[in-house]
Amino acid sequence: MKKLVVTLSVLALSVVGLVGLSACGGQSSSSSSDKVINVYGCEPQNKLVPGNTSETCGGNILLQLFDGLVKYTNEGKAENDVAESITPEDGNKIFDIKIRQGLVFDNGEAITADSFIKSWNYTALAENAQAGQSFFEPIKGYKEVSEENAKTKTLSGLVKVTDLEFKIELEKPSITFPMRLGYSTFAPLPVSQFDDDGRLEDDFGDHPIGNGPYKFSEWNHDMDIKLVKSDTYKGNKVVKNSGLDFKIYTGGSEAAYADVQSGVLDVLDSVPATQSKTFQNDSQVQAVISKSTNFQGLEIPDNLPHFGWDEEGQLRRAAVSYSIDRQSIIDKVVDGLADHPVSYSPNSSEISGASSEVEGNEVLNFNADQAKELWSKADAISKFDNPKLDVYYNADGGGKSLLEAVANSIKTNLGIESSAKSVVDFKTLLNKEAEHNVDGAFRMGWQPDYPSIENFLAPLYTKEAIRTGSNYSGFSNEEFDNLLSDGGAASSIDEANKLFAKAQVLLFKYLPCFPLYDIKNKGVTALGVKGMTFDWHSVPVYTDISKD
Amino acid sequence: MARYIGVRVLQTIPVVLGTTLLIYGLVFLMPGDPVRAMFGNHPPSEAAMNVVRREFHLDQPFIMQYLYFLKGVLTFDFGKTFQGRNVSDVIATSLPITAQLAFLSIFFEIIIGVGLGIVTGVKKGRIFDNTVLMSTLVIISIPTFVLGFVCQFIFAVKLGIVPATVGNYIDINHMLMPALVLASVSISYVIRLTRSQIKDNLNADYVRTARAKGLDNRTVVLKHILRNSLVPVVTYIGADLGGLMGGAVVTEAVFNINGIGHQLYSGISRGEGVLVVSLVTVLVLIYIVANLLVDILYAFLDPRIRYGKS
Amino acid sequence: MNSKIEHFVADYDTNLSAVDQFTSDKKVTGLIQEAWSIIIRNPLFWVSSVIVLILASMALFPGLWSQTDPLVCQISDSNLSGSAIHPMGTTLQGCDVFARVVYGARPSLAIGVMTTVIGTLIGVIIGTIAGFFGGILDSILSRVIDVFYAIPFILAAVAVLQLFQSSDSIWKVIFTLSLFAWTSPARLMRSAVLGVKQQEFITASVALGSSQFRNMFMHILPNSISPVIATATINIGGYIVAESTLSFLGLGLGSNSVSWGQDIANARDNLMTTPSMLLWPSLFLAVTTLSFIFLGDSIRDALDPKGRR
Repeated sequence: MKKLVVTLSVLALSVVGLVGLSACGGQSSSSSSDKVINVYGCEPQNKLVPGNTSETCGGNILLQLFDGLVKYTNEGKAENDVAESITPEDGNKIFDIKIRQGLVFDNGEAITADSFIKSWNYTALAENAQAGQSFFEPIKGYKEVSEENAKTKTLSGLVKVTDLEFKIELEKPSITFPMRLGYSTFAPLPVSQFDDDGRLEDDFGDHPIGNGPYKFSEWNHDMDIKLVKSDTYKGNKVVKNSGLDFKIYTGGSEAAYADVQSGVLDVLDSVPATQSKTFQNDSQVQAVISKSTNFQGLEIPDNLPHFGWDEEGQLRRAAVSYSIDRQSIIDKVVDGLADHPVSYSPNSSEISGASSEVEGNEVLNFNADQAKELWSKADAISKFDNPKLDVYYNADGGGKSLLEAVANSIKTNLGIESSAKSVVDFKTLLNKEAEHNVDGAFRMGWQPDYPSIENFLAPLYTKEAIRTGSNYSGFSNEEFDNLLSDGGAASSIDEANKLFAKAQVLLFKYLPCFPLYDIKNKGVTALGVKGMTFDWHSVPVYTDISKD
Repeated sequence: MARYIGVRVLQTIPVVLGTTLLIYGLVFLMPGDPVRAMFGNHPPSEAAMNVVRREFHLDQPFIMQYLYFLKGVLTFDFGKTFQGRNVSDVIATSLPITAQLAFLSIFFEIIIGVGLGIVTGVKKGRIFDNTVLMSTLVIISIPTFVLGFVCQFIFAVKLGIVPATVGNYIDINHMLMPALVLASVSISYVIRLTRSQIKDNLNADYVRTARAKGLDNRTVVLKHILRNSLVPVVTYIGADLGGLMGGAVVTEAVFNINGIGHQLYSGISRGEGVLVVSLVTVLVLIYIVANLLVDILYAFLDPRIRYGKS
Repeated sequence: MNSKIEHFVADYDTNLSAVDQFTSDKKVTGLIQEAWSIIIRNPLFWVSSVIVLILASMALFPGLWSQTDPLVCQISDSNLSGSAIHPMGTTLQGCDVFARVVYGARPSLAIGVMTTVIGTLIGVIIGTIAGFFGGILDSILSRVIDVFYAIPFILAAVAVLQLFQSSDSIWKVIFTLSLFAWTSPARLMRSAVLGVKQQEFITASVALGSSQFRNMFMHILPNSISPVIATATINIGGYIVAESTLSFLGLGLGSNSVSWGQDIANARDNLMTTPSMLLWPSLFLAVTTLSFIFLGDSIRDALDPKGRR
């Protein structure tokens, strides 16, 4: 037995010794601009094709590999990037795009009008089943290419003028359309990567060729994705490091946080719940906190009895909204890392049209007396026996404590039954939502695609979005829909935003969803890492990051 | 013995068929449309989603999907994941990682579990026995997702004596702590099991005989008692291998290990029937081999147990 | 068959009157009486019995221990440390930890004990049959065990618990855990029976005309059960923790029921700031497991024919 113990301790010692050695080796000093930054990543859902990516794991990487026609400043303003000019014609129904000369892909191929037209036609065509397909919905001819067995294979709204100029014709006018062109779905692809039928090479997504500040280098599935600074890049972005190594964390951000603490990982763009209370005082990391444009709300679907769009439903919805003590939830459950909401978008200067003064937003302020009063008024219209409003969350998304707090708030302040119920995963909950089959309220999280208030309204509450978008409450109101399409057809952004604001007033009346809080961006970097900030839609500005 | 092994190998076929059919049924039973979920908040046109459904045979009834899978297996083509990777590639990268973790865990189960089991079994009611019991309790009472997190914080982040995560460093150095955490609950079981077996055998007739022959205590314990106590312990450890391979989801998440457990879990949550069934097929085969070895070991450990009666 | 006769021949000079005594019913009654007289002299038995009784009273009459409603939670009381009103502090949601520990006893004990009992019973029966009869029966049962072992627990839990999504009954958790709880006892039992059935005293008993079933239940079962008991007592704690893992994965009991497992799962996020949230439910769980291990040990010591001096 003694022998065994000795063997074990020798084993333990040798392991400790090994660790000590490996920690000492391999540190050479060099100037900060030629360092590779190790950043948090997750395994992309699909191969790295811009048009086939609408989730953040792949999206964050594609944003580094591809430059679009426009880019967004850190303040959320859309600026021309690959585009030399974008000129609206015919009252914002047609856009004439001129492309900057001399820009190339990493394989040396020039960026031309065809780089965009081929890429967009490929993404929009139904038989290619691309995740970004719906982004092309505004363009003329979308209906024909998105159908089963489409005869037409190209978007009729895309017309090449010269090698460096093309026109986009829309189905109906949209003043916000140019703003959308910075989303990675609209990225150009090298023409050489398409076959004669306009199909992208099968393995393109395994080693994408981009036109961005970084060049793709290597992808070890579920391990890491390596990007290096592009040597052919002539675009607008300045890169302060020599490359990015996206370390993939398959189990979420907790393991990544431990790695930042031990200096193995440089940048983590989120903070796990286990560290949310402590990361700001953690001496082993640097905390980064900023405002975000992420919307967090609670939706009540109209399939719930007593929660329709009539007067009773309106009263009950308002009562529930009044009964939620948002500030306490922000203080205790979100650890103060959020602001009290004021409207249907975060109150952020980065969103065009965001406003803190929308008529009817007092319904967001906690008022238990008002809540009870409105509830009994609704009862006078139609009695609600055994009143109950459960709130649902997907267990793999980390909303448990938040929704438990919301349920407790409703239960305590409104005096009705309410508890948080879990659905096993996002897939299951999303399906129930899409089928209008959730037996209670549920959380709505929305990360905007472009920095306009329009993007917080149209995909979530219009009648059309019940079928094609993310309108899971079933809200359908002609006046609201008209205000949004009128806004799109407006002659100036200011005028459009005024109409969008009017649409918000309607939302506060019917309350298909009510905002819960304006969440903040939070992240950590290892000691010695410099220049970490979040851009307008919560992606780290990777190009700015450097380390000693 | 050869005949016995042959029969067992043949029996593998119905087990694999039964298990895969059952798993396919379970995946099929799970609610939610995996294709709709794949596209999240930006669903493409119905036509585009149908293209994906057809590609993965998701438009077919479940028994057809199962037959497609079987056809694939017979032609050594496990199919593709939703991401577009070959399922065989996924298995080829994650299996060695998980195998390393599992075997290291088994190693700890044997060394620590059986070791401490012997000591506590022989020395009845001593302080040492109680200390081991208490540590066992602490481990049993704390779920792995807490234990792993605490160990990581103390030993990696605060003390810095082991790396915090594994990632793409697949070596003993990085796997040590995850393997210990993964093995911890099983170690507790092995300790209790060994201890109880040793105590059972301490007063058996053959031990008295051995002592009467004048053998020293060490020889009696290690040569006679241990050998006679090992059958249930070996059973437990052999059966545990399956659990360690496929059930390390939490440990793998805490220590960022890209193993079978993670692939299985994400396959389940994405509703990827083909990936899940393929992974389970591999696990079944491993499990069956492990159990066959265990059954053969019985005959070696306890000559009274015989197979293949003539 | 030949070998068995050889054994009998070897024991030919056994005193026949002693054998007669062995098969008489008196001896069997004596076994239980003797076990009882051993058990009541064991202090560990008494200590663990008292603890189990206390826990049982919490499970049956939680109102005796705490008047606070564990489901009435004020967010303003979030994360408090121990005080006169909240002796063990409060949770993130502002619920009283003591009340939750008391009220959590019933579902947690029910899950731990019921799953263990169901799993062990089924496992022992199947394992004994497989090991005792051998042959084709053993092959079939063993392969069924293989199938159950190979199904990933999480997959089955997701699938089964989805079917009972709307129910808050603890039986859905017990059912799901029991689906897998029987395999380990079954394999342990089978391996032990394989060894025991070849021993001389069984051969003797068979030779003396004892029926197969009598043999199985009177002689083989008591002599093979020890490894199963050793693991079963830990399993009680193990299954209570398993409920915690199910909660962690969003599959356990809902937020409107209270259990130690749920509270342990919830406590994880606050481990860095309020470790007491983890401490209390875990401590109760540990004490529970300890009592059952002690109970199991004393019963085993008393029952096991070999361990007796």
